[in-house]
Amino acid sequence: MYNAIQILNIQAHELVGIIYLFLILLILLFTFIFSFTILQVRKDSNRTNWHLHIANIVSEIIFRDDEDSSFKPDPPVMALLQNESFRQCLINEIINTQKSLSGNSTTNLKKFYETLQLDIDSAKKIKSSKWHLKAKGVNELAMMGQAKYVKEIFRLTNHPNVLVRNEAQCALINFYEFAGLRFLNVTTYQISQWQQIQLLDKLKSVHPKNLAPIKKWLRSGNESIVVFAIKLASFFKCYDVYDDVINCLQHDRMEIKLQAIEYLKKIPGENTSEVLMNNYIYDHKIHRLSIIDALKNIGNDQQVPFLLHQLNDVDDDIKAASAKSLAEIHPLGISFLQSHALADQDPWKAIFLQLKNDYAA
Amino acid sequence: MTCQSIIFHLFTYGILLYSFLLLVSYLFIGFYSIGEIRRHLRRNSFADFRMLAASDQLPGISIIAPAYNEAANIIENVRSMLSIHYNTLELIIVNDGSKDDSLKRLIAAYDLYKTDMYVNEQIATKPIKGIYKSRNPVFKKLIIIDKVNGGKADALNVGINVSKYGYIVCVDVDCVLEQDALLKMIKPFLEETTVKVIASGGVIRIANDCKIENGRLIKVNLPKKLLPRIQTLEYIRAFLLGRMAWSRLNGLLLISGAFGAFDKEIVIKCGGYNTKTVGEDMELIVRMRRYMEELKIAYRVTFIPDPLCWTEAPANYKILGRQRNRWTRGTIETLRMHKVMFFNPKYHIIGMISYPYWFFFEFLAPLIEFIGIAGFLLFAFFGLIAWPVFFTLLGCILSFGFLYSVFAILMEVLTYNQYKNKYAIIRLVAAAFVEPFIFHPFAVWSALKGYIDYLRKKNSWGEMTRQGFNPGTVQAQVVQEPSPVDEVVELPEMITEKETVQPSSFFYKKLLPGIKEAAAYSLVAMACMVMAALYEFLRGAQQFGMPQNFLKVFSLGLVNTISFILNFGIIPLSVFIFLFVISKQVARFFMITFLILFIGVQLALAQYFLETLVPLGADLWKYSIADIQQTVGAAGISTSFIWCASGILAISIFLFISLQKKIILNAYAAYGLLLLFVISTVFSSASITSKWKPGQEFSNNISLSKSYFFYNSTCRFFNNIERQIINADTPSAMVADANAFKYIDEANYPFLHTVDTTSDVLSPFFNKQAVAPNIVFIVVEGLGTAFSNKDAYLGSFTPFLDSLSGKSLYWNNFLSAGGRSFAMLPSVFGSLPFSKNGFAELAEQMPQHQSLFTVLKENGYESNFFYGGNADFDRMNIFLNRNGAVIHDEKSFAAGYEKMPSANGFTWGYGDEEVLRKYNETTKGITTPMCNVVLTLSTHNPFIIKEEKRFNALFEDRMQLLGFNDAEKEEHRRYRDQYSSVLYTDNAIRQLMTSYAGRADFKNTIFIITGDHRMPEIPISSKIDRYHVPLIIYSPMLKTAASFTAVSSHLDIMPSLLSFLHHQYNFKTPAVATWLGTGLDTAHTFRNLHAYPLMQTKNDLVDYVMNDYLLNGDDLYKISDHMNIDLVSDDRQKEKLKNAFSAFKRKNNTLAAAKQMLPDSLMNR
Repeated sequence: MYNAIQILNIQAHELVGIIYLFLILLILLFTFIFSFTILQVRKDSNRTNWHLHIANIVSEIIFRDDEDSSFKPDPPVMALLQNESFRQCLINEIINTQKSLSGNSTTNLKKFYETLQLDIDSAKKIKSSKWHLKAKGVNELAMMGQAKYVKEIFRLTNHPNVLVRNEAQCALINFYEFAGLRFLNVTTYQISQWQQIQLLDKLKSVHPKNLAPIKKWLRSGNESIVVFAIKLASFFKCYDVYDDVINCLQHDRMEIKLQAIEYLKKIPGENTSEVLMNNYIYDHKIHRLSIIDALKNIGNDQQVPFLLHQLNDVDDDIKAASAKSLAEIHPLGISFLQSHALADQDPWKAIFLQLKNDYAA
Repeated sequence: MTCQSIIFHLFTYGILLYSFLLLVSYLFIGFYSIGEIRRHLRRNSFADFRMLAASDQLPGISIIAPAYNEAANIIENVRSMLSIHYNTLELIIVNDGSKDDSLKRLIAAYDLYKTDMYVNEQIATKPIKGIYKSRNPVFKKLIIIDKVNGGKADALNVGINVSKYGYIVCVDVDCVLEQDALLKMIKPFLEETTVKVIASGGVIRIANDCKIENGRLIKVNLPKKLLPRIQTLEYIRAFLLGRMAWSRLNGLLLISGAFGAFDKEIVIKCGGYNTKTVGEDMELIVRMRRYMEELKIAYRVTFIPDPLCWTEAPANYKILGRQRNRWTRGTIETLRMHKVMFFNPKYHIIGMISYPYWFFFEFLAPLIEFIGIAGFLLFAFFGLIAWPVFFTLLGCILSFGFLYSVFAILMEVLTYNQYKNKYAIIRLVAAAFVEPFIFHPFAVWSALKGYIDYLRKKNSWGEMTRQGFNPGTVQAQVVQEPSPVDEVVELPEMITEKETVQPSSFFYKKLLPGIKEAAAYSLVAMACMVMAALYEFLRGAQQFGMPQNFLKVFSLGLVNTISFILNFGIIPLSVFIFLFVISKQVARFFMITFLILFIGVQLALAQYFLETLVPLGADLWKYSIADIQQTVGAAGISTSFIWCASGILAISIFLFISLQKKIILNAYAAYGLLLLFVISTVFSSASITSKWKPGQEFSNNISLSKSYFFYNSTCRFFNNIERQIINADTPSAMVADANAFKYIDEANYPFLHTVDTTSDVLSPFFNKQAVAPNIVFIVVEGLGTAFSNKDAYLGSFTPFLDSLSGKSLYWNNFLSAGGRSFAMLPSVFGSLPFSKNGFAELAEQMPQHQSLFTVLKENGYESNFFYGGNADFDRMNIFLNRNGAVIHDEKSFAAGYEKMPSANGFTWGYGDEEVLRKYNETTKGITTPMCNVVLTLSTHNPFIIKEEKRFNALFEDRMQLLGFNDAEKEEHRRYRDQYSSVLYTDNAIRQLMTSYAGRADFKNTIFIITGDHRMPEIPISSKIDRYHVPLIIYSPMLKTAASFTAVSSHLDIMPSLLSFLHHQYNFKTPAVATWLGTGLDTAHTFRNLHAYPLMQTKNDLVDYVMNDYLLNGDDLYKISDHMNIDLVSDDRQKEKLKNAFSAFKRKNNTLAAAKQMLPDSLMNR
């Protein structure tokens, strides 16, 4: 060991120096952790007091019937408002309350938020160079319906940072509902499934009058926008884009094809079943399962020969899905299964038995 | 380079490099994880998962939870999982052939009915016995599968086959999941737009002592028990730092089987969980990644640092050991199955970084650690460890480990801060400090058992004994194709760490009793050794009086004794435990025999010390049997010692046989004690405590563990440690020669240098005679300045020499080159180095060399050596014969000379009076120039002299004359024999000088009187005291008397004398020489211009004097007048002395190997 140390040109006293360094760091870290924990406990205690103040204020605001916006908190709270942490705490509390409220109460909260100029705090954040603060600012302004900042926020819908972009996109929907989706015209980034779910969630109680933009988005070069557009069409039951969605069955991307099948399953046309059968891709299992499943909802006796053919497929999942669809669309219904030539052979026997049980249940 | 040193270097470099890389990787992981955690926290800081939980847009998830014998909690566990916030969910509980009533309870609690359900068996599994669904629509998400027992992996595969959704989340059924766990887990799959996320892992947190109600976590608490608490820290470190860093690198190889989400399509394409391994969770991830890499599809495996899953950690060592054992086997199996990826660039990060990391730092780590510890113990035992460096490195590693753990705690506090209480944080930090000493060794041990279990199974392929699936049945099957499936057939009963494990019969019946008994023996051995130490102390106190600070000395003695046992005890204890497993009787016989011998040796060593006041070291091995017989015989073995030693041994035997049985230790106490032994061995406690010294040399020596001193120096002796350390030291080129000699050919003749012919310090003090002078050396055995001449701190007991020195040239700060007689002849008459064990010990291998005898012979001198004993002792005869001196030892004494009185029937030979008489008679009338040497003998142990009473009376008179008070007299009377013998020798010299004065050659004679070393039997006061001897040069030719305060030594006599003879008498003296000394210093003020090595015993070359400093081992002392020394701390000086000493040692060692001092051409000239 001694040799090794020497050859590495390390002196024992240098190593001792390293120990000292580690120990000093150790002491510093421990002191920091310990102090931080104590401070955190104090901070939590302060916050508890703040929360009491804030809860009182927010309750008072919520239950006001009039539209008096001249509400001013008590002097102690006014003093606290000089404290940045308190203001942030107040913003958080207002937003949390806002999420669980609706109607007049939310308007009161919004006014209160504006009266205390908390929107300026939030707006400052969107100018921050730190992406997480920017996103936080957008989120706050969106939650409090501060549409006056839409110009700044709209620019952020195509921000390189995914969180900023997502929040900005959600904010636009908060402000303008379906019309807020206009960012889809400009965004160059892919919209993740997660973001699509968030956006659809925000649109769940919206009843848009003009769904025309969907047609345009279905032709977008951004494949995620195409997927999202089909989802929107399906979500809002938009029959106007039926032909465009049919065209999507020819798209190279499987996700778009599958999404189109989902749309057609919900909003079928007269010849949808035929179209689907014609688009049946034999070498892609998920696609096949998706079409067979769609036929269960939209098929008729004309698709029975096709499904009977699939019932003999080598893949057991295709067999099971075909049997399930046949049980729905065969003129004999579930009893067809009992008369089938393979009814006593596995795996059909097991498949049919399960279907029988499912129907019985 | 020898084979041994190659192995040593390979080992040390290897371990060092490995440790360095490991630390670097930890540093990287620590820092690299910060960014990923921060990014995750920021991205999710205001995400509202609650709002999304009800969304029907979310993809469906199938939770799969295998269960085996979980009846006790399964109802609550299922309820907990059903309450998770997620819209499109199915919960599949796979009852893997439980032997309890899990299924019955589920049927009753959830109103289940058996349904026919078609299952596409995409992954082959054991048969399904039934699938159950609930009649209650509230539980419509629940599916219970009852299947034949097949192990956890098989159960999960069944769940995968049955599941209907595209994402599966595999969990342990007893895990408590946070309400938003699924949303958080699915998010990474849905967020990625450019690559496919194939799996996502979640943090597992320790739930021990947390408050859980109705399957929901109510309050987080830090575990009260140490073991789960340490695991809490371990999990924080592993999950929060390790996995986050690997996730950021996209190099994760493991997602915990307790909680992981997967893309089902990829799982099925990869064939599902592997039932051939116990590490199915890791294996699946590795296989999935390999699959994606081979298909060249961009993918990610992500990790969520949020605390989403809480589970109970093993709270006892049995279960923890099984868990770690299984983890190790799983790692080995997985790495082996996918060895093609090892450093294979085709697999990118996973092949080039992840797999090698796991291989080197997860798979090999316990093995390397074990080898490291074993190697360390071995090196420590043989004394190959450079302790200061070792402790420094150990300190580095430990402090780094603490730092890393505390950093992980910091990250926890700054991020999720689950343990908000400051006391909890302190306890967590305390766990970090305890972990390396308690938990980590156990984890390494369990991992090693994992290796062994893995290897055992590997060898058991072929005819397999299967547990079978019906309780109590065992089926023997002949397996045609040995398949790894069979290797793990013992696994079907999916035992989890939470279960109670049946005790291992081997461990409980054999190993544990062995450990307990070993611990009991160690306690008794300690008691017996303490008894032996007590004996030594009491005998010492009786003989030499209570040492100063006796309490300190006594307690240090006990500490040294115990620390020695703790340090070295692990070896016999390990042997005992090993033998115990084989045969209890053999083990006990071994232990008792060993311990009795051990205590016997300790008593003998103690007695040796009490006789000689020098602890016996490896010098024992350099004495011949005859030498030992002579020494022991001379010292004699006292009856009291025989009685006492017999008594102690008898008591020891009694204790070992009877008391040992009465000491019943519980397992933890036994483990604790053994751990103490291991720690003491690792930290070499004996070497640490042996450095704690009470002060005075005698006190230091009496508190020293004689056994430690003896065994330690013996190990060093037999392993040539000194040589290895020297070879490892600073290259000679880096060290200027301390004496500034001009060397001629250092490579071949390391000591050969030119001689400064101008330097002659003695001539100014001498009148020149017409003829060359006779030279007479009187070397007095054991004569120290401590009790001779004017500055004797014990009072001078040499009145004649005192008076003589007043008429002579006298050096009061003079040193012998050796601590024993063996060094005297080569040093005084050759100024020669020591070689390995003393120059004379080279015996027939002695290289050609110059000496005073040979040079004087060239100038027409005769040399004679007079000694009352046997000149064979210390191989003096060989040295003298090689140098042409005529030996007159006891064999040449004719009738008429009387031997010394005998002690125990033994006598060294002829007393000093007789020797000096013999000398006088032999040399009288010889006209040829002579160089004669007389080595006295009477002042040697056992200090028996003629006319004992007379000299005892003289001793009393002398004390009176010296003005001693009663206490001082009493103190001195303890060494009456020694002092009386000194008075006797002094008187003998007086007689010689008196008679010599009448000889014709008196006026032409130079007398040189010195001691060979200071006798140790009168307690020595300091490290240099044993070398502090007087030098008196008396001659009627002297112009004047003078006293010199400068430091000189035996090594300087020959150079100065030859220089004097060369200048005064035109002697032929060599132009080149090998002497170590530069000549006597005749300065009147205290100074030291020399640099000397001083050899304490034949095996201890530990002292080096240079300028005003003495280096003793690693201690540096400042020397002042009267050779007083004070311990100083001056690293620069110490380094200087060490380098010079090392340079000397290196040369000195080449002597033993090359056996060359002078070229033949010089000798033959």
